[in-house]
Amino acid sequence: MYRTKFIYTLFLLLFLVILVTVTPLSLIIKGSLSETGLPERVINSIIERLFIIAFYAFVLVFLIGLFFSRSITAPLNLLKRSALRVREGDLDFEIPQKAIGEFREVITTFNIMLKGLKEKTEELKKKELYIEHMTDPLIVLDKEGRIIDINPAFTKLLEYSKEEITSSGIEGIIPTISGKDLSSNNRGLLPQEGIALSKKGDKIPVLITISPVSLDNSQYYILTLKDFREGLSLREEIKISRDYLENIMNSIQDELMVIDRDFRVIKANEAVKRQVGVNPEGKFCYTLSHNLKRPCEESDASLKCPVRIVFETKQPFIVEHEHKIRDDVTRTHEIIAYPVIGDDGEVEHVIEFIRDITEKKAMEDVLKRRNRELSLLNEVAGILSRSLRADEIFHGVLEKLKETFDMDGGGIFFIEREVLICKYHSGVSEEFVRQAGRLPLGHDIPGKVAQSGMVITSRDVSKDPRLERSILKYSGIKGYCCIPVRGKERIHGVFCLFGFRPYEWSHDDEEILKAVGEMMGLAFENISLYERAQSLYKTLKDKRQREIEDLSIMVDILSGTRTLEELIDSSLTFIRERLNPDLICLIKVDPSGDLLLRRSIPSILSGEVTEAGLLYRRDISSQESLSIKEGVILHIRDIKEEPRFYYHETFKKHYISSLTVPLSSGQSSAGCLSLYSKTPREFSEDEIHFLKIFSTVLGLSLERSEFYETILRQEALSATILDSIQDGVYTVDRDGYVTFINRAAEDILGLSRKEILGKRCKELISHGAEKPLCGTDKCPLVISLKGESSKTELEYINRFGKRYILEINALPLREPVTGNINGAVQVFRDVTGERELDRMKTEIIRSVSHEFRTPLTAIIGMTEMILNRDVTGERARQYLEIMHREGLRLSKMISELLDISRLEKRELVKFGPVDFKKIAEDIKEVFSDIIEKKSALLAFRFEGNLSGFNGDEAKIEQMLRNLIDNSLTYSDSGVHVSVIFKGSDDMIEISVTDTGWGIPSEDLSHLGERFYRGRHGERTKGTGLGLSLVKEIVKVHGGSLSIESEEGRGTTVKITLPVKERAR
Amino acid sequence: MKKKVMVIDDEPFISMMIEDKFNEYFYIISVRDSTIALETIKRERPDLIILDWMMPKISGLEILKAVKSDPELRSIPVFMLTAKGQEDDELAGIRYGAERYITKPFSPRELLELVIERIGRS
Repeated sequence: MYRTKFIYTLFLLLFLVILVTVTPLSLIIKGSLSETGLPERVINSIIERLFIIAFYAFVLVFLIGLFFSRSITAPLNLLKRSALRVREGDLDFEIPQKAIGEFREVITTFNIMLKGLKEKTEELKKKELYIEHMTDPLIVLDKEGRIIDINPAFTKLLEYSKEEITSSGIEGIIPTISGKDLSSNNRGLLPQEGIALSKKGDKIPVLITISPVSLDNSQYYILTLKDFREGLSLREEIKISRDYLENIMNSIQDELMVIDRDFRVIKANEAVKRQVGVNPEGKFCYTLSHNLKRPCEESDASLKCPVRIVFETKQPFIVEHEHKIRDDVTRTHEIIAYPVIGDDGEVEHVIEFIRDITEKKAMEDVLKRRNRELSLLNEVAGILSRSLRADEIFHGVLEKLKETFDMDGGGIFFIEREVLICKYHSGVSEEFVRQAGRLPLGHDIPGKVAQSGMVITSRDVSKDPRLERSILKYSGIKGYCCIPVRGKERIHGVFCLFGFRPYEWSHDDEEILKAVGEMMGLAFENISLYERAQSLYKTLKDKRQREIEDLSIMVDILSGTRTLEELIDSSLTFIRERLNPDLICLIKVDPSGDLLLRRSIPSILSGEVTEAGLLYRRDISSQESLSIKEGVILHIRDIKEEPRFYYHETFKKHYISSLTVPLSSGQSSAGCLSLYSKTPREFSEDEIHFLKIFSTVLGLSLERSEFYETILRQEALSATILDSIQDGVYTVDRDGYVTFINRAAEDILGLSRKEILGKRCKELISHGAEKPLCGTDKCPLVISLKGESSKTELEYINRFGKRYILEINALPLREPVTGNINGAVQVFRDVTGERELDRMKTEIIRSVSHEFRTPLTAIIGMTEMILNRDVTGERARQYLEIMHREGLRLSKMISELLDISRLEKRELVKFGPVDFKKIAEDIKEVFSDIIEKKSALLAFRFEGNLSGFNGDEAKIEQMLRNLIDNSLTYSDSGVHVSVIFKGSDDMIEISVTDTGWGIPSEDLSHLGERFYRGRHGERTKGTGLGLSLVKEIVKVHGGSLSIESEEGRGTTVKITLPVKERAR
Repeated sequence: MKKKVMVIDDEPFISMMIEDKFNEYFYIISVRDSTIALETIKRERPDLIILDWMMPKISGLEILKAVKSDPELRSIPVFMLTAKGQEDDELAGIRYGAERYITKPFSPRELLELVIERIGRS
């Protein structure tokens, strides 16, 4: 082992000698030789020889080495191969231990080395990996500033590959760094900013950290670059933010400072700078604000430092601070201190705002004062309007003023007859009020104020030179004011306030007090007005009360009287009692305009005015006529001296004064009341008022009474008229109750007024057999109550069985004003006669056509036959006789009709003594033929005094003839007819009784109707005029006729004729 | 053989007139008492009846009713003779079966013509 070592050592030594000595030596030699000044050719030759020697030496050494190496070549080769493997990077093997001796050791060592190498390599690999993965670029520089290595991040950032950049100077990449800088200026570890230039030439801001590294006595620098592009923009933003913040701070008008724990201002805005005149930053706040050398509180305990408080409490703090700038200038600052809490939770800085609120405070004070004034005025107004009781409100106001101005007392004075009297006071003794409570106008302060209306205030009365003469001067009062209580037009008084301390009255105070004074003045006036109104109201109330009493008496009078005269009397008496005139007259205007004395109390003696009561003719100018005409009340104090009016002698003689009140009635005066007194008499307003009312009421009452009487008269007139007419009239109200009925209606209906008034109209005809219309839509009243007029005709049989044909007109009755239907009137006319006439006319035509036709048949038929020579000779003569006879019958009928007609018209009636016996004789003669033919019996009897009856004999004979003719006609053969004449003092009774067919009951009521022939008329000949004629004749004589008949038994006709005047 | 015409009228001169006018052509039976009229009709069975409406005791209308209600007599034509001129009377007459209604005063010649027209001369 040692041998090898030695050989190698030797070998190496030789090698080194050659290597080390020859080359440098040649240089040295060359250098030293050149210094010797030898020619260069010589030198070069020396060196040339030297080189040759060296070469041979070297070859010698080589050969020796070769010689020795044979014994060690094999292991060496092995080692060599292993070393090659290692060089190629293969570290994962171990040399097998085959050698012996020294080489064995060598190999072992080699293996250990290899293992160590492997470990190192792996470690290096790891480190390299770290470097590879570093995100920040890394540059390794040599001490010259040349790049010897970079990491991939570098390439990534600046795009240079390692090959491109190695050996180039750093300044090509980062111009701010040069090799010189690196060595000369140890920049330490502090990062610095710089610009790195990329391959493309982009300037990339980077943060550079330079770390010097010493390795193997060489100096290296490792530069770490941090891409600072993001950081830069961040910084830009921060800068903008800071500028922004600064702008904000500067834009704040309030002073703003950031102060640190040492009370040093680290930041201040422009406002602060403006205020202090210098840049405050870095200065202590106490020097700035109070020009102190030490913190405020240490210099002046009264200066509570807000900054300190915030540092201590960590809470924001606000304080108002009176800052004295100069002796006479004080500003008010509002200071807000705000903590800035650091990460450690402690207050790092305090931000202090300082705001000058001097103006604001002043404004607030003004507002406060205004507010106080307003609220005072408001409260005073409230008190004043709360009630109308002077006591309550003035005391209230006084107390309020005391309280508001913090006064000790006060008083309110009102002027009463040039003297100020203290009416309300507070805080002063009664004794003082007695002394100072009455002041003539112009005296002392209140007196002056009340007179002048000006406001007087004094800070301290005792020291006020203006008030030398005031009683207040020595009263202990200091602060004082006296204000006028001013109404709309004048000053009503004053009010004073005082305090025992001086009081500074501001202009505003004075103004407000003046306003209060005016309010009090108005209130005072209101109260006075109210009190006056109240007393007036009471007076009026009393008056009204009396009027009501008067009125109730009047009402009693008016309601208690029955007649117009009574009404006038009691009214005049009442007025006389009430007003005590010596004479009271009621004077009326008559339709012609003359004035009549209607009534007087006491009565004016008869003869003094005319009997008709005429007082003044219409053309005379009198007090009364004027009053009536103009509707005015006239009061004449002395009628003797009154030039305008003429007075009746009676008045002029006895009376002096007079009062005339027109009587109102509607729109005009129809009269007047005159009151005369023997002494001059005055009338109070109330008395006149009373008279006015009374005259109105009396006027209306009189008018009403007169009206009422007129109505009564008119009603009576209407009733008379209605009673005098032949038509029946009755009225019903809305519900059909009878409200009026006239006499004709009573007669026709056979009812009396008493029975029917107030009853239902249907009861008017309830006795009638039929009431077909009653209650139906066809009822005239029903129709007229609906507002329509109706006309109808119906047959009516009254309670006495009398038959009427009534023409009924019904009309609605309407309210005069509203026009509403309030009833109906029914007017019914007895048209029985008219209808009879109508029926008769028809019947005449019928009868005439029938009764006339039979004789005409003979005349016409027979004439035709004679003319036709159907009959001749004796037969013809016989025909002519018949024609003659029938002609006569025709003529008789015409005569009878004419007779009736004449009787109706009372024509050709000859009154004279009637001889009934002669009549009987004549009749017997007339009926002898027929009696014989019918085997009838006709007998006459005479009873009593029949002489001297005054009548138309011919008519009475005709009457009897007709009756007997009827008896003989309406009977069978053998009929008995007896005629009895009965005479008494005042009447003649004639009865005709037969034993004939009798009259059917249905015909009874029609008897006497012209041409009515009844059932039996069917089979008999007749004119139907007989009984009609009888009736007319009876009527002419003022008598009556009655018929009793029973069918199958016979008939009795009884005629009663009154004996009016016995003929002599 | 002459046909029978019965005249019922209480007024003698009417029957007289008709008799004088008709007897040339007809056999006239005059009845003046209405009470016997019906039995006379039954007995005589006339070819035509001239009947006065207005008669005492039994009126012409009653006789007409009796004739028309008797099946044996019903076919006999009846001429009513009346002074009544009203239409309602005429209607009543017609209703009860009168064939003619002859108003007084009438012409005997016309009546004859009417009767001849109705029943012929013989």
